[in-house]
Amino acid sequence: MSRQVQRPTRSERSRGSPSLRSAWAVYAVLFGLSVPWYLPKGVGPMWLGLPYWVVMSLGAYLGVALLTALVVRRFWPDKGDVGSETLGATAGPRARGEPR
Amino acid sequence: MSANPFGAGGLVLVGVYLAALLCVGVLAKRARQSESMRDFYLAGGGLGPGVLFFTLYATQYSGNSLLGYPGEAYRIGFAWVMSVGFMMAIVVMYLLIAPQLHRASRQMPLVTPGDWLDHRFKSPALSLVANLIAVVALSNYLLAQLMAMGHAVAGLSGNAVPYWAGVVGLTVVVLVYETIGGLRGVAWTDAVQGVLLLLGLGGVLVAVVPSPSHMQAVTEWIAEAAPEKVAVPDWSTCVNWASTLLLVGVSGSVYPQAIQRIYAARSSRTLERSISFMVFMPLVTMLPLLLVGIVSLQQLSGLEGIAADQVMPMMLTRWASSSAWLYVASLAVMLAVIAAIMSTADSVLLTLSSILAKDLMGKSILKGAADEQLTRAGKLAAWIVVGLLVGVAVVPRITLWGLTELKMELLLQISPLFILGIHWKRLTAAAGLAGMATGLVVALVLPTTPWTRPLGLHDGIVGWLLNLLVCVAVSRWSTARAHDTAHMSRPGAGSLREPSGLA
Repeated sequence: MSRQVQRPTRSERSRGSPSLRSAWAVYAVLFGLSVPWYLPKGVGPMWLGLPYWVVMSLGAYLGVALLTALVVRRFWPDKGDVGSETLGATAGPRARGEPR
Repeated sequence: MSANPFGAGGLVLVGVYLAALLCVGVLAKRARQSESMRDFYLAGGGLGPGVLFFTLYATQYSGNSLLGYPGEAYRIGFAWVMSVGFMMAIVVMYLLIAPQLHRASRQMPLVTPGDWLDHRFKSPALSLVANLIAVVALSNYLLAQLMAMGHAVAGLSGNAVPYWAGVVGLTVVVLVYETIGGLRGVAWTDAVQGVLLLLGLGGVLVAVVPSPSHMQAVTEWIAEAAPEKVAVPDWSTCVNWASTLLLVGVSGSVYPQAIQRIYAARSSRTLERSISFMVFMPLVTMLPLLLVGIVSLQQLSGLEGIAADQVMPMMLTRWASSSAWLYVASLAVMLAVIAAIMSTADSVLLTLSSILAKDLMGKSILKGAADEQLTRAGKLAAWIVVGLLVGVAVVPRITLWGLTELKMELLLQISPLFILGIHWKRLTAAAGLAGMATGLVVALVLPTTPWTRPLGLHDGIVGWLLNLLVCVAVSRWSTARAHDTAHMSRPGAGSLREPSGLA
């Protein structure tokens, strides 16, 4: 009987990757960076015709959008208990590496 | 400039558009599968990915967005880039509640947000207070849309059509197609309106920023004339920015009309796809609107307060008379403005009608009534509420953004019921009710005191933080007390029943 080589499931592949909790931490950092509280006051240089801090904020928001697309793709739950589940805690078949 | 810068072509286009919306409403009525509330208010829970995405999109971007936000950019300058962030924060917050609410809607016949609260907390008092908050917030939101209709029609017609006629005329069209088509009609018209919105905003972007060098010239002009609108924002603006991200992000995610669309998604995968696309939409929607407000600083001077809400219509009328190509682009934007307002008004009105019928009348004067009777009562209630609100809208007293903030600060106080209610089983009904009451009192009373907006935070945010604190403290206290009581009455029986059972 030939042994089938089992490929690691998606969730196994993702075990070593940053968890959903890390994603929320990245959200906090990106939203924090989007507000220019840490920049020196005054009119600075312009990038693409806009004040540089506006472009930096937009960059942070693009990061938020990309991260959300990644989080939804990776952690969207498909079944489980309605009340106790958090996004990613009860991962659906796709997060478990199963076909849908 | 002529009195009506869009001429007869503009009027014909608007007429055709409004007639098309009514036809879509009729088609939606024919597609109805039953007379149930779920079919009328949730399209039978069968919205596919395309329609769901566009109805979420068209609902989220409203008259406030298209008229109020350029006005706010005009007032505060580039710091209004925060609007891209707070619209995105709403979608991020969906991640905390959307999967669970959608799944719950598959397991039980949920129609309104209050249905889930009934199921989770089993507390009539809590559901009643939450529903009343939702009704007040939605009425406020609807009022903003009605005002936006008047501003748009008056501004776009160069006051050829008066403000009040815009309010009344567009409201009647919304009422008709919503009454005959229900959510199916609303969602289908939203799809049409969402496409128009995207096309129109594409037109705006090209009209506003033909090239980066053009934008640079505008920014340099503003840096000379009003440097505070280009400079890195001061500390108080940054605090307001962070506070607004939290305020809009959290409260926007529990918009009752958004929750109903989560229920109405055909499948979990449909919802997942729609949210994946939705999160990018602030970049292509809010950015053009910000730039309209910024460019208008150079071209329109001296607008203050409510007058700045006219920035978008005034810019459109200028573009329309400047070249043939810009006339076409402006027509698209004009329709997009009307579409955005109507798509939000119809969604808010439908949700308001469902809450009035099912959560308020269905539990009191129409207790035990059949679905058909409740649906009819909801439609009638919608007409009455709109009649009252039109009376208020014809005499505007507050800016569109002012109305938005007010609504958000109220809705914020019901968010812990959903977010904590889903993720923390120990949240009790008593704690939720106490927290909501605390938050509401603080949000309403603080603005009338000298301590309003402490540290630059919105009063609603202060109320919300106290709301969360009370929710956690009372839940812990009541479960600890229940634990002690259980031990005293039944020694050895250590396991506690969860305060609220979930499916």
